[in-house]
Amino acid sequence: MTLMTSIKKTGRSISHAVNGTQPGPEETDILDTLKKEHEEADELLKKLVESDKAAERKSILKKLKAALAPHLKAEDQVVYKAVLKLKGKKEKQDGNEGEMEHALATQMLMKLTKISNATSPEFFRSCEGAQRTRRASR
Amino acid sequence: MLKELVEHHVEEEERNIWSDVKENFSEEERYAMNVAFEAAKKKVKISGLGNLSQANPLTLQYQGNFTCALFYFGSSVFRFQSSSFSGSSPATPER
Repeated sequence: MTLMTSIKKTGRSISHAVNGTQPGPEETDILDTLKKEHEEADELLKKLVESDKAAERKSILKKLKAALAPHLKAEDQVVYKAVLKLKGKKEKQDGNEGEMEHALATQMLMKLTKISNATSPEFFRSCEGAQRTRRASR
Repeated sequence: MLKELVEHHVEEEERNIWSDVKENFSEEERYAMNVAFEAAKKKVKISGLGNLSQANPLTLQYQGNFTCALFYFGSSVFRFQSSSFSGSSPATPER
């Protein structure tokens, strides 16, 4: 970070603190936004797994879909696209692997939304089955 | 399974992709990426996830050198990785 950038950033932080405002998208690092959204998704997934009521599960899944779908798509278009344009082999590998995981997460999210009975074993397995199996095998 | 996949993905993304972004893009560029990210999110239609990638992980392959593949079967996720194998029928996820 250059000295000028640091000064500008500090100035903006003071201004927001004094005025009680939040920084806009143009004043926020993409990595801070991604971190916040990852935490929100993690929270919703925990609630989804812990819930045992069908209506509640459906409601949480709807929120999760509304949060994850735009996140995955926008991240592909902006972050992964930029990383894949880099020349390094590691960057390309990271980008390709991340895109695959996004595709897989999207497909699983779609699969979950198609399961009508939110208390069925199929729904349960799709949410957390492997995690429970992994815990049991430790 | 979704929870496990997301946790695994977030862990890897924060370790690998984020370091790539930090190393290769300035803070100003990361701010600009954030603006583009927020704009891209607004364009995504939520209903049906219709315009998200329809790629099937079982058949995902990439142009150039194949790097890894993720499969799911039942409630397990499998990973295959190689730095030298070339995909025979390239198809990238829809962007």
